[in-house]
Amino acid sequence: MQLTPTKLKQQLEKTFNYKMNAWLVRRIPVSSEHQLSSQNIFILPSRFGIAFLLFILLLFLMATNYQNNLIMLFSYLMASLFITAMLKSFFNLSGLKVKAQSEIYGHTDTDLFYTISLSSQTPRYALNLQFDQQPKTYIPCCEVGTSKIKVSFQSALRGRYKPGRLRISSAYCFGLFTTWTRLDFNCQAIIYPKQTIITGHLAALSAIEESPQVTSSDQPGMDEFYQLKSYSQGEPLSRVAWKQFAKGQGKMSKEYQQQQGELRWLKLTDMPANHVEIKLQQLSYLIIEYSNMGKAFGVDLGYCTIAINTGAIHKQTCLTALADY
Amino acid sequence: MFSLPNHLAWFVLLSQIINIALVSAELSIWLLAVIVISLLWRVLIIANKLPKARRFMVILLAITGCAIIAINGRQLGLLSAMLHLLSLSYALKTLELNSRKDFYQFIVLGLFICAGAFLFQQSLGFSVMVALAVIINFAVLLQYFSINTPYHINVKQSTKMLLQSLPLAIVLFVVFPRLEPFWQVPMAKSATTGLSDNVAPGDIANLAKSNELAFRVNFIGDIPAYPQRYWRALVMDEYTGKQWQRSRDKKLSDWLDIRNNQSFSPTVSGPAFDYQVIAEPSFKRWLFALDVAKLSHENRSVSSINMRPDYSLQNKNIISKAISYDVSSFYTTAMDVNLNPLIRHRTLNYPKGSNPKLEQEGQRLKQAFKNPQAIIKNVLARFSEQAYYYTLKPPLLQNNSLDQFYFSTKAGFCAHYASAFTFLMRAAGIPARMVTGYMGGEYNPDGNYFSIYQSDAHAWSEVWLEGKGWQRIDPTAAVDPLRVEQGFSESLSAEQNSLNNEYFNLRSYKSFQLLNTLRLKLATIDYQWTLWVVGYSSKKQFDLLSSWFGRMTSWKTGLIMAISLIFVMFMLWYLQRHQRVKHKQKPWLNLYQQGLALLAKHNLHKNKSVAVIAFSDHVFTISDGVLPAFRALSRDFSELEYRQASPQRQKQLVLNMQQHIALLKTQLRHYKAVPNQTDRSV
Repeated sequence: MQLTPTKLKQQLEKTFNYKMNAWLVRRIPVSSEHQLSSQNIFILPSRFGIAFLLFILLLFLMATNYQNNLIMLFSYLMASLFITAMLKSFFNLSGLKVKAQSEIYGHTDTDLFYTISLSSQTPRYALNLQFDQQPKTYIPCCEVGTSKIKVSFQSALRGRYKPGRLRISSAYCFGLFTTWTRLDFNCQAIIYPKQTIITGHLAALSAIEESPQVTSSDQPGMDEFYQLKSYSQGEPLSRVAWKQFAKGQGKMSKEYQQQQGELRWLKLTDMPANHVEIKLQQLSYLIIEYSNMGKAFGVDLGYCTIAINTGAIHKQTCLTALADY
Repeated sequence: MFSLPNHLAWFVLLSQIINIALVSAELSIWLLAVIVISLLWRVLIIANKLPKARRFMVILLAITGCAIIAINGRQLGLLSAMLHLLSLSYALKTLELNSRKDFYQFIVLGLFICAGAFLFQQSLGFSVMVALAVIINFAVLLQYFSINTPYHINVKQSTKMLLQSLPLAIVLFVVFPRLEPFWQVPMAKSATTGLSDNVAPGDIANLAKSNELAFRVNFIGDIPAYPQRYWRALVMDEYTGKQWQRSRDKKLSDWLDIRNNQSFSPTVSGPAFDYQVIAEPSFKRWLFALDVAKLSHENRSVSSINMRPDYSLQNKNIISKAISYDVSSFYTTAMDVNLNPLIRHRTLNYPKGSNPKLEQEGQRLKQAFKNPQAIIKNVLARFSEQAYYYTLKPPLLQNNSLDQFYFSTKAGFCAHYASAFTFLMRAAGIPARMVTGYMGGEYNPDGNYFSIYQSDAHAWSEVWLEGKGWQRIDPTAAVDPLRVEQGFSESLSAEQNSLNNEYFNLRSYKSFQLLNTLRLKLATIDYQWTLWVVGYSSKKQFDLLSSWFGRMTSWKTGLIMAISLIFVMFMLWYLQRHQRVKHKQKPWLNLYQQGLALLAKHNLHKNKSVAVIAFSDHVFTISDGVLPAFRALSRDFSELEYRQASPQRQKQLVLNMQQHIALLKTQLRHYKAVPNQTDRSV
C-alpha cells in the first residue's frame, strides 16, 4: 500500500484520536454526573491569546528600545493580566456540576435535544455546549442555581448512537484562553427512520391480513361504534366520549367494533417501496399514524415481531425495533 | 455570525474615543478630521441611520489617510508618522468589525495606542488617564463575553483583574533585568517646551507666562541661597543683529581637541553643592546645572550627557522622557582663566552697524574708563538709577533694536537687559556672552526638593575678566533686585497672571493656604513617580536590589520572580474561593442555617434527610411549643426555597425570617436543653 501524505495524516490523526480517547477514558471516566475541577478541565491559550503574547513581546521590545519605563510596566502588567485571565478562565468552569439525560429518541434529520442540567453557585459566562460533530449551543450566562440546557443532536442515519463526549467550552473572560472539558455521560440516542408518507389507501394495506375481499370503501374511522367503557389513563383523547363527559357521566371512552375484531399487522414486506430503508420509513409513518389514531397494531419485521398492542410504550418499542433493524 | 449588539457597539465607540483622546495632542488636525469623520460614520451606523460601511469606501478613506501621512511624512518624523498610521487604522477598524478576529484586532490596536501614548508623556496624571483607558478597553472585551452584564459590573471586574495583576507586574518591573536597547529607534518629536536655540529680547517674557515644570532638583547636603541658583542651560556667543544664538562652526571643538563623544572636563576645586536633577521631557537636548558643574561619572545614565566647552550640559539625544543625573557644582571654581583666542574673538564680535548708538556708547565707555570693572559698574548703575523699568509687557522694539531699548523705551524683561548689556560690553572691548537658563526654583517641603518652572526662565550675561575668567553679571539685578533675590515681585506676578492663558493652574492660587498645600502634596507624588517609576534605571535597580538581597545574581532574580508568581497565583485562588463562599448562598438559606445553628447549641440537630417542615414539627413537639419562632422560620424558608415567590414577597419573607431569628434567640433562653441527645436529634 502506498503511503500518501494525506493517508499518513489520516493515519496519524486516527492514532492520535485513539490514544487521546484512551487517555480521556482514564482521565474522565463515564459518570451520570460530573463536577468540573482541575481533574477534567483543560485550558490552553487561544489564537488570540498567542497573538496577545506577541503583542506583549512587541511592547517589551518597544519599551527596551525607547528605554521607556512606563511602556515596560505596561507590558509587564499585560503579561501578569494574562496569568490572571488564565485563572479566571479556569474558575469560570471549575465547580460547575453537569448532569445529562441518559436517552433521547427521535427521527432522523430532526433536531433532537439532550437536556443537560448545569448547577452552579456562581454565574458562568459564555458557555458553548456541543457533542462531537454536532451543532453548538451557546449560553451567554448560566445563572446561579440549576439551569436546564438543550443541546442539539442530529443524525441522518437511523440506529442507536452514542453521541460521545459532551464538550463544554468557554472563551471567558477575555478570549485569551479556551477552557474546555469533555464529559462522558454514556448517554445514547435512538434514531428512528424518518417518516415517509404512503400515498393510497392505508386500509388496503392493513386489511390484507384479515379479509382480502374487503372493498376500498372500508376506511379507518368509519368503524362501527361498539360500546362505551370507562376511560383509562393513556388512551387517546380522540376516543373520549365528550358528549357523555359533558353530561357529567364521567370520562368514558368509545370502543369500536372493528378494533376488537380486526387485527392489524404492519408488515415490512407489505410496504410499497423497493428499498428497505424507504420501507422502514413508511412503516415508521404508519406506526405514528396508527398510534395517533389510537389503533391497536403489531409489527412484523420478518426476523422479529412485536405483538399487537396500543399506547405510547408500544409505539416506542416498535420504533426502536425499526431503528435497530 | 459575529455581530455586536447595539449597547456593546456604543461601549466600543466610547473606548475608542478615550484611546484617541490620549494621543490627540500628537496628531495633526487633518488626521483628527479623518478620525472624527469615521467615528461619526460609525455613530450613524449604530443609530441605524446609515447602512453598514461598504468595503471600498473604507479602503478609499484608508488610502486618503495614508496619502496625507505620506505627503506630510518628512515633516512629521518617522515615529509620529507611525502613530498617525496606527490611529488611522484604529479609527477605520471600527467600520469593519465583521468578525471576532476584527474585534480582537481592534482591542489590541486600542491597547497599543494606550501604550504608545507613553512615548510622548509620562507624568503621573497622564499615567492615571492611560490606566483608566486600559480599564475601559478590557471592560469592553469583557462585555463581549458577558453580554448581558451591566457595564459598571464589567468595569469593576476589569479594574479588579488589573489590580490583581498589578503586584506581579510591579515585581517584574523591580526585579527583571533591564536590557540595553536592541536597535536604534526613531525618537519622538513633539512640541518643544522651554528655552529655544536662540533668544531675541522679547522671548523669555513669553516663557514666563508658562507654569509648566522644567526640572526638579534634589540637593544632597548644602542648599545654595536663592541668588546663587542660576541654572545654566545655553550659552550664546553669536549675535546676528537681531538675536543671540550658539555659533555653529566646528572649529572650536577641533581646536580644543574635543572629539564628539568626549565631554569637556574642566578642572575643579573647592567646595561644591551636590544634587540630582530630574529634567522633564523638553524635546530639546540641553540640560541644567549650576556653575561649575561636574557630572558624577559613576552614574551610568550620565554617559549620554556631555559638557560643552562653554560649561553647559547637553544630552546626546532629544529628551523625550524624564531624565535624571547627578551633578556636583564647584561654585568657587573660575571658568576659563586663560581665554582661548578663538573664544575671545567670538565673544568680542558683533555685526557692525546693527546698533550704531550702542556701539558709540561702547567706544565712549572704553575711552572713559580704563578698567573693565568700572565700565560694568557704570552700565549697571545706569540701569538702576535711570528710569529703567522691569516688565513682562515691554513695548515692541522695531527690528529688535537694542538702541531703541537702551536709549528710549527703557522697559523690558531679563533678555532685553542681558542683550543690551552683552552688546555694550562687546562694543567696549570686553569679551561677553549671553547665557539663558533658569533662576531660583520653588522649594517643596513635602518632598524636600526644588521645582523649577518655565516661568523661572532667565537670561543673564557673562563677561570675561583678566585673572578671574568668566564672571556672571545679571543686569536684571540692577533693575529689579527683588527678582534675583526671591523671585517675581508682586507686580510682576500680577502681570504674569494677567498674561497667563492656562485656565486651570494651581500655581496661580498660591495665596490660598489649603490649595497650596494640596498642590505641593500632588507635586511630591508626581516627583516620586518621576524619580522611581519613570526614572527607574539599571543603576537604581542594582542599588535597590543590592540593598535588599545582597549581591544580585540571575538565580536570585529567577527565584524572586518564581516565588512571587506562585504567591500571586495562590492569592488569586484564595480570593476566588473566598468570593465563591460569599456568593454561594441565598439570604434565606443563610438565615435558616443561622436558625439551625442556634438550635444545635441546645442539642437539637437536624439530619440532612429530614424535611424542613417535618423537622420544625418535631422541634415544636419536643419543645412543648416553646419555640414557635422556629416553626415560622421554617415555614417562610420553605416558601422561599420551594415556591416561586415574587421579588417583593421574597423581600418581605426574608425580613420576616430575620425577625423570627431574633425571636428564636429570646425564646431559646427559656428553653431548657434536655441532656439526652439521642432523644432530641432526628
